[in-house]
Amino acid sequence: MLRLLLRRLAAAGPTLLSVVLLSFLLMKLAPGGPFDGERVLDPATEAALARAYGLDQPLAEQLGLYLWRLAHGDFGPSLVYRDFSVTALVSEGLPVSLTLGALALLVAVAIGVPFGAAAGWRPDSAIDRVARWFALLANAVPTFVSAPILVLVFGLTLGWLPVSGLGGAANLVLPVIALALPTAGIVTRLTREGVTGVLAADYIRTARAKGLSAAVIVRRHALKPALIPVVSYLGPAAAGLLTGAIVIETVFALPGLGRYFVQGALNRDYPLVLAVVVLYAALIIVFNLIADLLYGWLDPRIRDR
Amino acid sequence: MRGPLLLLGLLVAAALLGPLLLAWPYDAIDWNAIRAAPGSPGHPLGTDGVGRDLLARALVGTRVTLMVALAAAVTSLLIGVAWGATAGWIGGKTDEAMMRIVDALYALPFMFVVILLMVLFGRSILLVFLGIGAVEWLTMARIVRGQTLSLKQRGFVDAAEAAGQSGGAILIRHILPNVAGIALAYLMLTVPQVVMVESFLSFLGLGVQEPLTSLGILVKEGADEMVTSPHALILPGLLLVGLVVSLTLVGEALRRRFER
Repeated sequence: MLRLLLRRLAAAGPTLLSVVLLSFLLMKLAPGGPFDGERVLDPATEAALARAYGLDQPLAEQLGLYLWRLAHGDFGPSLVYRDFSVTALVSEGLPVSLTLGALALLVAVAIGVPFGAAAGWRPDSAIDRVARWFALLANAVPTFVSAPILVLVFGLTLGWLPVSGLGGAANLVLPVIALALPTAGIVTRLTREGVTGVLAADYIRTARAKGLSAAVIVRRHALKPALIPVVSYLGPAAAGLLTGAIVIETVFALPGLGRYFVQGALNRDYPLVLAVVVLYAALIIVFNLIADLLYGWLDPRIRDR
Repeated sequence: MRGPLLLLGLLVAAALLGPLLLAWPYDAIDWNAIRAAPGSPGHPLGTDGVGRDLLARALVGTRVTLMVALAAAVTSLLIGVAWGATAGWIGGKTDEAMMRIVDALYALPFMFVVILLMVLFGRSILLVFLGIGAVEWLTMARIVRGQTLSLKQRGFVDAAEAAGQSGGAILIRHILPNVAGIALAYLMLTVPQVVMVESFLSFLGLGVQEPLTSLGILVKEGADEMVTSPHALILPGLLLVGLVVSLTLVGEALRRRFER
C-alpha cells in the first residue's frame, strides 16, 4: 500500500510540472498582452511596465523566477487587478469553489449510489428502467441548460430560492443541484454496472448457496467490489465538477475560481490564469491519488502489484 | 436502436434542410417583428431581441454544432487510430512509451488547456474543432491499440507474414480494416462529447463567434432573456439534449455490436 502511494506521488510531480510548463509556454507564445488597451501606450511607459513585472527578462529566467516563487506559494502580482497579488485573489475564490464542488460531489454520490445499487440489484425492473433513463438524461443535460432552467423555475417563477450571489446556505441550493446532476447520472450508471457485474460473480453464488441473507451478501461481499468503478471515476469526476463550476459560478454570480479564470482569460491576466490552471491541475491530481488509494483498499489484487 | 436512430435522422434532416424551407434566414433582421411571440406571421417560434427568426437560428445552430462535432471527432479518429495502431503494431518499448504519454495526457486538466488555446489564439471555428479533436483522441488511441495487439496474434496475420507481405502492408490491409468497426462505434460516441464541449465553450463566449451561431450561443442568448421568452432557452436546450441522447444511444448500440 505504501509502495503504491509512493509510486503515485512520484508520478504526480512530473505531471503537475508539465502542466505548469505547458501553460506557461502557451501564455508566452500568444499574441497580445495585458497592457493592450484602447489607448496606445507610450513606448517608454510600456517598457517601464514590462520591467516592473519582469517581462523584459529572457524566457528561461522568467520561467525560473516563476517556478521559484510558485514553490514558495507565491503566484506573483495580478497584471489587471492592480495592488492585488494573485495569491490573495485565488485564496478568496478557492474556498467558494471547493465548498461548491464538495457539496455537489456529496449530493451526486448520495443520489447515485443508492439509486444505482437498487437498479443493479433487480435488472430490468421498473426502478432499473427509471435509473437508466435518469443516468442518460442527467448526463445529457449540460449544466448551462439546467442551471438557467432551475433559476427560471425555482428562483424567478416560484420565488423559493435566491438565484445569485453568496448570502447564506439557501444561495447554494440551486448551484449545487445544477452542478451535481451530471455527476449523479454517471455515478448511478457506474454503481449499477458495478452491482450487476459483482452479482454475476462466482463468490456471490457461493454466498447465496450458503443461505446468507441478501442484506449480509450486499454488506459483506458485494458492496466493496461493486464500488470500484465509482471510485475509479473520482478523478474524472473532480475534473468534470471543476469545469462545470465555471458555468455555475458564471450563471449564479458566485465569486469562485471559475469566474476568476474566465475573467482572467478575457483580460489576458497571465499570472491569474496560470494560477487557476495550476491549482485545478493540483486538485485533479490529488483526487486521482485519493481514487488510486481507495482502489487499492477496495481491491486487494491491485494493492500488492 | 430504432427510436434513437429515427430521432437522430430527424434532427440531422431538420438541421440540413429545415432552414431552406423557412421564410427568414438565420441572420436577417425583421425590423417589423422585434421580440415577436411564437406564432407570429412568418416566424413560427417568434424572434429574438434584435428580430432574428428563432426557429431558423435554432436549426442553423444545430447544423453548426453538428459540423464542428463531426470535424473534431474525425480529427480525434485520425490521431487516435494512427497513434494506437502504431503503438500496438510495433509493441515492446515503443508501445510502452507511447501509452505512457497517453496516460500522462489523461491526467491533465484538458478543458482548461482548450480554453487557454481559445483565449490566446483567437476564437476561430477551425481552432475550436482542432483543439477539441486534439483532446478527445486519447480513448480512441487506447481502444485501437488494444485491438491491434489482439489482432496481431491471429492466424491471418501469420499467414500474411508467411506470404512475404511487409509490416506496413499488413497493418494497412489486414489490421486497420478489422479495427474500423469498433473505431467507428467510438467515433459515434465521441460526437456527443464534442457537442457538449463545443456548446460549453460557445456558452462562455469562447467557441463559435457571431454572426455564426451554435446551440451553445443560442442557450446563452436564451438564458439572458428567459424571463420574457422562456422558449428561446428551452428550444435550443431541447435540441442539444435530443442530439446528445440520440447520438449516445446509437453509439452504444454500435459498440455493443462490434465489441464481441
